[in-house]
Amino acid sequence: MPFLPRLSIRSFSTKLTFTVMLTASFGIVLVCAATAVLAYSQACLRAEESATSQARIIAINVAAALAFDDADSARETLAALSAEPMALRAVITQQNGETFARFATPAAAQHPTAHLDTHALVAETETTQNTWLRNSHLSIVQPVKIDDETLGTLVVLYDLIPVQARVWRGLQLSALIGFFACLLSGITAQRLGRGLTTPVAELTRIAAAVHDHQDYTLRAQRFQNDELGELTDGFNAMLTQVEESDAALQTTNDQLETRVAVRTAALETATHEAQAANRSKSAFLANMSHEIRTPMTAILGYSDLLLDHRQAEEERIDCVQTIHRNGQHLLAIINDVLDISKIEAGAMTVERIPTSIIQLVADVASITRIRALDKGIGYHVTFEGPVPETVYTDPTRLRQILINLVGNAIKFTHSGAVTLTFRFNPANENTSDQLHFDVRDTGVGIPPNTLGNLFKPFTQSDESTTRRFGGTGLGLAISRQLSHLLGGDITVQSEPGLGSRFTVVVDAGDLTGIELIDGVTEADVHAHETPVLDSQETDTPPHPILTRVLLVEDGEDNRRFISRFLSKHGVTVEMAENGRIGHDAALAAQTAGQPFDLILMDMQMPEMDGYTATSKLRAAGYTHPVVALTAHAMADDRRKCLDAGCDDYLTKPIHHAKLIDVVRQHSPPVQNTPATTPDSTTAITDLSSSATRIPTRPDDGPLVSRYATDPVLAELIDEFVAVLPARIDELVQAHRTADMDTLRSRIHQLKGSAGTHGFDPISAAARRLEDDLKANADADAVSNALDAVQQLCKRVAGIPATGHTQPANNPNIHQGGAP
Amino acid sequence: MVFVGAVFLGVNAHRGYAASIDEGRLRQLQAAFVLNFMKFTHWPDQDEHPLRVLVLNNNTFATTLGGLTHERHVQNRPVEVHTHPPLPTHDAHDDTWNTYLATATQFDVIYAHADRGAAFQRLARATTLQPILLIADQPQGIAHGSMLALGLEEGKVVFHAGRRAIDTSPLTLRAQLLKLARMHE
Repeated sequence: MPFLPRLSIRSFSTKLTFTVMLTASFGIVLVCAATAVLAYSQACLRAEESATSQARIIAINVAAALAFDDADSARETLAALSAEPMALRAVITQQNGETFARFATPAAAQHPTAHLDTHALVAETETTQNTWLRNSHLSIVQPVKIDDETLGTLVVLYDLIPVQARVWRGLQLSALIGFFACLLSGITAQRLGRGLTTPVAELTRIAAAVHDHQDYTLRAQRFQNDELGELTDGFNAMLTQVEESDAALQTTNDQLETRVAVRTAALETATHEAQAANRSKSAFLANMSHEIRTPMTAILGYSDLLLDHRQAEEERIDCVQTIHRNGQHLLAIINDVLDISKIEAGAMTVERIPTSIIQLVADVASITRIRALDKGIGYHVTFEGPVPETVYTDPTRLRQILINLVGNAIKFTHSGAVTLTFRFNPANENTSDQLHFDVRDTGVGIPPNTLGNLFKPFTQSDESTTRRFGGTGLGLAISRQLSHLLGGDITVQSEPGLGSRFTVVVDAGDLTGIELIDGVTEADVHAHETPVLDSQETDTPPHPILTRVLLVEDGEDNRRFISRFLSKHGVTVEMAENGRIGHDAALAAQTAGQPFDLILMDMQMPEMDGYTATSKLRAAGYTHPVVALTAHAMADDRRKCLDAGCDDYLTKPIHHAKLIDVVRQHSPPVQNTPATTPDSTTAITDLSSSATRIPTRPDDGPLVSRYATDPVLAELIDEFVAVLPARIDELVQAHRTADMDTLRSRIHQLKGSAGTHGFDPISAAARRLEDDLKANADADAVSNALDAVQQLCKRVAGIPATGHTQPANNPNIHQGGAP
Repeated sequence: MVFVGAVFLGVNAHRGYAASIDEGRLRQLQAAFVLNFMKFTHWPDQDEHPLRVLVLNNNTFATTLGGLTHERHVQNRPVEVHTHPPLPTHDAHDDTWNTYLATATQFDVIYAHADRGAAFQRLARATTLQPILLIADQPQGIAHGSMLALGLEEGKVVFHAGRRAIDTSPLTLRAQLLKLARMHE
């Protein structure tokens, strides 16, 4: 249909109007047509019924006339049809076919049926039909009968044209009415359509506006309370949801952008911090390297000088003192590193024990005062207000803090003085009893922009400070963390060029019942200070230790070394190879009434380790002191040893002085007799004949024992060096035959004995090989580790050439003369 | 076919007897009229009893009528035509009359000459209250009490009807018949 495409582009209102009119037109046309057909049919039917009835009546009425041959009477009867508007003609024929009577209306002459032959109609009555409906007329053929005897035939023609005209007029009227109905329906549809199209147009307009401008605040107007009204509400609700979602999305985007910005800033900050930390660590490492290398260089250099026997006695003593001082410095650096690592690992703990503030300050002063005096600056200790007789804190850590702060103050002060001030702040509503220490100096001061980094690990005020004054940059960080652990903090005030003031505040603990001492002065501190006496500076030889020690140690070298060392100091040493033997020997001695004064118990032994042996001894009622010897240096290991029943703890490699101190500490008191041991008195001056030369190239030169300068141990070192080639041969043989158990056992022994005899590089290399063996590392790794051990052993100065161990290529080894 | 023939005769009579009428044809027309009278009369229900016609003193007419009604039915009843002697004289003995009338009144239709008025009147009185169609062969029969009477007008057979006799008779004549008749009060 050609109009449909055009219709498809018209507006909704036009479509609606057109559709309604078209539908109404179809309906009206159909109704009119049906009505017309029905009306025409009914009219024809009524005409037929009426005509049939009339014909029947006429036939009855003319029967007598026909029977009695009264044509006039018949015509009179037929003339009654003149009253029937539809009647055209009537004819009565006799049985012989002759016309008996006829009648015709005036209109019959103009009627299309005027030409019809009456006889033909009568002839048709021979058929079964007596009613004939034609386009223009209706023929009724009615026989005239009396008592079933047919006298003749009556034929009546009726005019259907008026009927058709009536129907046609009705149809025209219906069409006219239909036309107006269509028109009315169209107008009505248009009117009603406005009610439909206006909301739709409004929705279309709003949808287009929303689409074009992305403006979700627009709302469609609601025109009526029907489905379109609900559609409008739904559309508006949808827009509201979209608007809310859009707003939420916008908010989320804003928040996201803000969050991204914040996180980006945080990331940048973190990156900067990380970079700063990295720089700090790099600087720290460089600094640490410097800090370690400096004393190490001094130690090595002075050791080299010490080896020269042409040096005068005073020079040698000076060398030893310098080596010792630098060694202490190295130890302090290592302690700092250990402290900061423990703090960062959360493993640092503090204790709270009764502590004398005066004694604590005196300890700090006794250590630091001498340095201030050495620099020519003043050193003062003052007390503001009363001083608690006793406080509860960790004196070691508090002392460490104060020594660090005072030490820094001295370090950075070139003129003026350093003052340590104590003040006690009693508890109030907000704080508990607090101890205040002020460390003031008149030094270089700290720039304000670096104050914030002052307490960060690996950081000093700036790198120039490190270059100028040295130090690891850990001291203040450790001090502040320790102050936190002690329930306080450290603050700083400084002015560049004028000096600094560090304030330490720590918790004093519960001071209920503690007496306060008034009027404490620096003189009181002096009275408690311990004179700084370096034993090696004294001329008095150490007193012999008259005590009896049981050494339980599985390593033969260690047993021999330690026993020899202790014997040199007057100690009577008995030995046991493992924990079980040591346990039995200790109990047997106690049972015999001659218990050992001290047991030195290695904790890692075959058959029965030191933990078990000690526990069993304590369980058996053994009460004499037991000191643990272990290669593990962590706090947990110390705790583990003490838990097993040990009284003290020494780490390997054994520090000789500590060993002597510990043995002396746990030995029964003896009379203060003069030293009689010539070895001890000559320990410094009598250099071992087997002393090796200090390598000029430490990385690949000959290795020397760190005890090489100790004449007491020289013989032991010589013995160790003498058997070292055979041990290497055993290792190589075990490796070659893939005897891993032997290899593991021999490398463990070498690790311990090398460390004990002062060959730490060999001990470390042996540890790596042992670790590789424990980890079941691949063959190449084991071979490389073994080769490293071999190479180190070859570098040992004075090592004899053997079949498997090539003599060191360095000719200097032989220059000093092997033992 | 007999009836058609009678009608045909009637028509022909109507057309042809205007100038002169044949005696035989006249009897046939009259017989046809009598038969049509019987047809336009509502007869009491007598089931299938024959409709009995008594022709008095006219054997020729009786023969003609008998031939016309042979094997014919009027209102589903067969027609029988009988003849009887002429009416007794007016002054005949009552017994004679009684006997005569007793026989005559057993018929349904009586066709009689109306030339003897007193005797015809006595017959008419005897049939007045009975369902007997009394037909006179002359128009003056109406005056003597006949219900219907035949006549000739301008050579055309016509018939007359006596309203009083028709009204008093238990029989009912159809309106179509009476419409064509010359009515007499």
